[in-house]
Amino acid sequence: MSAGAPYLHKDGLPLALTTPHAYRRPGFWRRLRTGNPTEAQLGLILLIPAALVLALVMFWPIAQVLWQSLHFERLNVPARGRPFIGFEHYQRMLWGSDMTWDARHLLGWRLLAFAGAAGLWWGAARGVLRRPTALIWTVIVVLVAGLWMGYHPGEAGRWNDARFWNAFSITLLITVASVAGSFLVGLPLALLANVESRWRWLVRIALLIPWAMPRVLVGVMFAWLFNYTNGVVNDLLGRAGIAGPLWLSRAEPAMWAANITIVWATSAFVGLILLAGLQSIDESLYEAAMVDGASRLQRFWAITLPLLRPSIAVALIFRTLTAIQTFDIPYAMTQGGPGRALETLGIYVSNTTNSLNLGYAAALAVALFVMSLAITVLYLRWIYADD
Amino acid sequence: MRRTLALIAALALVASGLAQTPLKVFIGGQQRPDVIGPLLEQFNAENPDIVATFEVGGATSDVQQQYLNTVLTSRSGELDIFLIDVVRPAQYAASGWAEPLNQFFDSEAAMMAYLEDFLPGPIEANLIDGTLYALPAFTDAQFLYYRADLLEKYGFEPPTTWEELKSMALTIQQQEGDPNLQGFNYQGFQGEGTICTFLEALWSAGGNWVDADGNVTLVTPEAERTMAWYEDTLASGITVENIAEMSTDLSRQQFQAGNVVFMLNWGYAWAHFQGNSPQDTVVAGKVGVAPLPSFEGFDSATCIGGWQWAINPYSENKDAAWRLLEFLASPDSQRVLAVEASNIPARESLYTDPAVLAAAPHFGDFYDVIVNARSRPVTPFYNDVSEAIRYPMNAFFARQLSADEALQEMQRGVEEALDF
Repeated sequence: MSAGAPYLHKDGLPLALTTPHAYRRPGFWRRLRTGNPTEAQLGLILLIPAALVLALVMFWPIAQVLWQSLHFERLNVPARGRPFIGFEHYQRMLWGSDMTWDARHLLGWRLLAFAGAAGLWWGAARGVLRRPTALIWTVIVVLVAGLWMGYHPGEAGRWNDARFWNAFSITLLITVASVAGSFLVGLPLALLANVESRWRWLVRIALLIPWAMPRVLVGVMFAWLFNYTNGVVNDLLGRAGIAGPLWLSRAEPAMWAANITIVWATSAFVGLILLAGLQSIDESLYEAAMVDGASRLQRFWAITLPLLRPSIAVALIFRTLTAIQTFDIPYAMTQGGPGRALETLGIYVSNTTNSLNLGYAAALAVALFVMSLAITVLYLRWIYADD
Repeated sequence: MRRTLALIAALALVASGLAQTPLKVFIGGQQRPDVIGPLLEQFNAENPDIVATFEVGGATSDVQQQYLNTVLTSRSGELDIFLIDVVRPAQYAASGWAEPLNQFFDSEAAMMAYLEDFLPGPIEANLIDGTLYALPAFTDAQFLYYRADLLEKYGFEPPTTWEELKSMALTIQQQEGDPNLQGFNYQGFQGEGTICTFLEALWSAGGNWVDADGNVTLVTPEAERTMAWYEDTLASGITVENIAEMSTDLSRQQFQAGNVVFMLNWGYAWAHFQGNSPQDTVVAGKVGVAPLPSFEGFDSATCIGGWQWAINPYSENKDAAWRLLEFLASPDSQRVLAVEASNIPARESLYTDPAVLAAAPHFGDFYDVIVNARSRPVTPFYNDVSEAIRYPMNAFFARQLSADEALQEMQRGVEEALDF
């Protein structure tokens, strides 16, 4: 033991116990106290007020509605109080009596859902969509369309709340029809408004007016236009020798009338967003394409549409979300009638609230929220697929 | 010195402001703020210790109710007195949303004596198990409006049975030869009027939605007869095919344009027909009012309407509110409402009042109908019951449900609404 073990201090203690503490970065609170936060910390601190406001006005109400949906609360039965009832409302909403499983139940819709999932994979293969997104949605489709949609009430049973399923399908139908419709009308409008012409201002004003009109007013106005005996629509049809349908007194024509009205009121919005997108496309691309001898249609498919994708996505998100929450126009036109032919989920939530059944109304609102959330997530992932 | 004086004056002003009890009254746009306003000013002049003001919100029963739902759910005492529809008191009583008024009387006998002058219908709605929750402001009912000129032309008296109504309407339609002339118009839209459409015919067939033991009785021969009658109005062509979109005011406008022979509607339509209306009228002086027809051998019946004054239980000035309530429900105030706003009085004595009859001679005809008016379902779950009847009825008019299916749907829906 000449020079001693190298790992021992001269005092015979292990080195690790004698060396001074290695430099440690000061902790979050210490840096805050000494007034020397890192950039990341500073960012976090500056975010707090905004996060608090968001939490207060967004997450807190959402949490409250979720919480309320788990309680019995009917203001006209105050004696019962506000007991916690777990998922009873959701069971009423989504389930029925004498439920049986059948592979053929709602087959068309389920096949449609599977086709949609296949479409997502096709998109993923082409790089339009991220694979994880496609995977998540496929799992959801398999669970919902593959398993759950096979359940239905048997011979002796019925849905607990058939009115919910009616409202659900009416909402889906209005969403699909009116979103598609407003793009079919909005895109040509935007192209028209983008054409250099003396009359461009006229087209642009025409684009703005429907959007600036209050929706309830639009609903009342179109209810008059579609009136069977005194309406303009049937008068015009009559002049053309066509017997006009009972627009607002029969289920199917009422659905057409509502969608036409919604498309009239919202295609302007789609048109405006797409117009903004059109204006940001570089002219030189078209010039180059023309030099290469591309036809009008080719220019549209190869330049306009792809470069318009971000604008289309934005318009699609806003349009779909407002469509899912449709309330004003069908309510103003027929109060959800005839029968329940135009009773959307939004109208059902409102009616249930007005019947003072706040607990169940909250559960219905959650259903609406989940639908909107699912659509938003899908779209957002689609928009950011490239990033 | 000047400053001191100013200060004293300011203090005095603040003190007098403190001494005055503020009261806020809530009414809807349809309830004539231009008439209620001066009434409140008169009350303030007579009661220097109270300052009553009013707030206007909503122009339909549903919208007004939605606003009050918000105020009362949050237990706000911001409004002291409000007007509620005649179908609401039972729900307000159950929810604790209307202050019981018994406490403001010396005894029950005194209360009953005070209520004596009011019509029985509105009191039936406001007096729930011996507790008074509101006082009638004015009343209403559905009437059979008819074109007096056309009936006279063909030598008809107002019909007393539905069959008579149908044959008169058919005759007039055929003889006049006007394809736009409707024989019989009523409400079939997705709204409150449609419940009355159903109940009025049901009552006039001797039926009711519920029996004496509280069992729901909507799948009965009487109800089937009701549906068969409405089926017949469409099949015979006296009623237009788009009846499923016929709202109360749309009915009124069609009659006013001269397109209808017989119509069921509320009292407000009268003033419109005589020219007090935003639309042109071609029927001024040609309109008659009669009790609703019934089925052979049964009594005529109609739906009661109208509005009630109630005190907010969360109000901090209930005693002052009661004084205002008494003022508003007094014969003098109801006379003002009858003369200036054509509101149908809820007090019996006003139907023989010369001032009222001079301003609204038709109230004499209204009286016979009004006294026999019956209540729509009196229940805390009125919204649910109303929905359970109006939806199948509207779907029946839209040919989505057959008569039998509609009745079964009503029976099931009303039972479900009452079994909570």
